[in-house]
Amino acid sequence: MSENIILRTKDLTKKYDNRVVVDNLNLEIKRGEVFGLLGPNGAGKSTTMNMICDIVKPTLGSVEFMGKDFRKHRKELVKKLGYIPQDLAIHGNLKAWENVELFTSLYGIRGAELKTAIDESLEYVGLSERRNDYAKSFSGGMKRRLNIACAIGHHPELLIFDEPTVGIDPQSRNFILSKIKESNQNGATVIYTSHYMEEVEAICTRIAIMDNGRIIACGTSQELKKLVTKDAEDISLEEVFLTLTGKKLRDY
Amino acid sequence: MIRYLIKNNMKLMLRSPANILLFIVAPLGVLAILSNAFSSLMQSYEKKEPFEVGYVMSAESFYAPYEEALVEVAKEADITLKEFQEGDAKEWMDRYDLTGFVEFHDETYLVWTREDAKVEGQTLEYLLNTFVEELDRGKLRVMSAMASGQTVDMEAIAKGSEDPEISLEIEHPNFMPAIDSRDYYGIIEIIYFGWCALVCAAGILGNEKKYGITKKYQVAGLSRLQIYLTRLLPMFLVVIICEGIAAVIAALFLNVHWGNQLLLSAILMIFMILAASAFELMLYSITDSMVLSIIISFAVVWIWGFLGGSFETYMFSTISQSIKALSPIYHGNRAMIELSCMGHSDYLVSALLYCGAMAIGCSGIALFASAVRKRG
Repeated sequence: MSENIILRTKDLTKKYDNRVVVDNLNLEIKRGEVFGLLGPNGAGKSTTMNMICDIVKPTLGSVEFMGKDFRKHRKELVKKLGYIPQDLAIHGNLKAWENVELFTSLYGIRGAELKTAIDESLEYVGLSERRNDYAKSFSGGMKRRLNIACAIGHHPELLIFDEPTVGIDPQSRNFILSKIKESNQNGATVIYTSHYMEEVEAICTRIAIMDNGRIIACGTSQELKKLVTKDAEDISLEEVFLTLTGKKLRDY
Repeated sequence: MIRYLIKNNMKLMLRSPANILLFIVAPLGVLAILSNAFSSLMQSYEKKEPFEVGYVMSAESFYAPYEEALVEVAKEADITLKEFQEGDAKEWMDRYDLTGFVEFHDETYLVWTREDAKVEGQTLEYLLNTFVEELDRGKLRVMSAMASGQTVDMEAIAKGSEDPEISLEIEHPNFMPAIDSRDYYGIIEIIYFGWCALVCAAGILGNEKKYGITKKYQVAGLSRLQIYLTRLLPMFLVVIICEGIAAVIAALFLNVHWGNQLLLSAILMIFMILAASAFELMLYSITDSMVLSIIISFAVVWIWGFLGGSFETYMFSTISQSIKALSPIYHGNRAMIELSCMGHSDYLVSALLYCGAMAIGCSGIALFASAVRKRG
C-alpha cells in the first residue's frame, strides 16, 4: 500500500433488502488532499460516508484507514477521524463551550487538555466571545460553525464534512470554506460532500461523481470537464455533473 | 470517556423547566390538591385513641376458630373487641358507646362504624383485611401441602385442633398500624412520579435522534453499553435529585412523614427509580418511539398500580395476594408505607430484589433490542 493513501475502500457494498445502495465502491483518498464527493440525491453518498465512519455496517467490502482495517482497529483509529454531519448535531440547551466539551471528551480528552481543546476549537470557528451563550440563541451560520468546532477538538487527521454549508448566508459559507482550506493547509485530509458545485470546485483537489451507488467519474475539476468537452474553459462543473448524471429528478 | 457526557446530559435535564415542573412542582401540587380533596381522610392517626368494637360470631362462622387470635391482634392495635350475643348492631353501639361493630357470618363479615369516627373505621377495616389475608395465606399453605401429597385433617383445622398435621399459622399475623392518609397518599404519589422517568430524558433522546447526535457517538467509538449508560444514569440521577427535593419539601411543608428509617426508604426509592428508568428506556429501545414508549409505560404503570391495590384505600383490594405480588409497585409501595409507619417491612427485601432484577433485566433487553436493530 502506498503511504500516500490515507483512506481506501475495497469493494464497499451496501444492500437494503434487494436494493443496492452502494455498489462495489473502490475509492482512494490521498493524504493531504481535499476530496469532493458529488452525486444527486439517493446516489449513495451519505451511506458511503456512514460506512467509512462505521456507523453503517457494509454488506460487503472494507474500509482501510491509515493502512489498517478500520473496523478491526477502530479504537486506535477513531481518534484520527473527525465527522461533521449535515445535521446540526449540537444541544441547544448547552452553552457553546459545553457542546464542544461534550463531543471532544468522547475521544478521551480530559482535564487541562480538554480545556485547551475547547478554547482552540471555539477560537478556530470564531465563537470565543460567545462561548457562554446557549447554542439555541445562535444563528444558523453560528450553529454550523459550532458543529464544526465540536468535531475538531481532538485534532483529527481526516475530516469528513457532510454538506456543512446547507442553509447559511454567504458570509458564513465563505468563513467555513476558508477554515476547511486552513485545516487542509495545516495537514488535515478532507472529504467533502455538497450539492454546491462552485464550493466543491473552489476547495477540492479531486472530485468523484457518484450515481446509483457507483463512482462514474473521478479526477480534478479540469479532468472531469474534459470528459464531456474538449475545451474545459467553456463548461461549468454543474454542466459536467448534469451531463454525467442526467437531468431526471431523483427524489420524486 | 462518558463522564462528561453524563454530566452534560444531567445539565440538559436539570435545565429543562418541564422536568422541574414534572418531578418537583407537580408531585407537591398534586399532593396539596389531594390533601384538600381528601381532607376528611387527613385526620392524623397519631391523634387516634384506643377504641372499643363489638362483634357477634356464630359458631358456624368460618372465622370462629380464629376468634381468640383476632382479639389478641386487635388488642395490639389498641382496639378492644367485645363479644355480644345476637342482636341489632346499631343498638349495641348506642347502648355501649362502641366505635364500631362487626358481624361475623358463616363466610363473610359486615363492619359497622360511626360516621364521626372515620379514621377508627379505616383502622378497623385495615385490621380485618390484614387478618383475612393471613387466613388466605394459611389456606394456600394447606392446599400446597395437599398438592404435595401430605395428609391434611381439614376437620381438625376447622375446629382449631391443637394437633393437626398441618396447622394454619395465624396466631400472630403482621399488623400494620393505620397510616395517616396524608402520609399514605404523599408517599405513593411521589413514588408514582418516579415512574415517569422517561419524560425526563425525552428532550435529549428526541434531540439525539432528530439531529443525528447518536451518530457522532458511534463515530467516536462509544459502545452500545456506553450509549445506554449515558442515557440511563443521568435520567436516573436527575429523577432521584428532583424526587428527593420533592420528598424533603413534602416532609417539611406538607407534613408527610417518611418514618424513622430514612436510609432504607431512600435506598428503596433509589432502587424503584432505577427500575423505572431501566424499564422505560427498554421500551424506548424496543419501540424507537418516544410517544409510544411513554404511552405504554404509563399504561403498564397504571395496570401495576391497579393490580397492586394502590388506588384502594390503604391498598385494600379484592385482588388476590398472588396477583398483587406480581406488581413491583405493590412491593415498593407497601414497603415504603410500612417503613414509614412501622419502621420495618417484610416487603423491603422483595421490593429491592424485584427492582434490582427489573433494572438488570430491562437493561439487558434494551441492549439486546439496540443490537437487533442493527446499524443499517
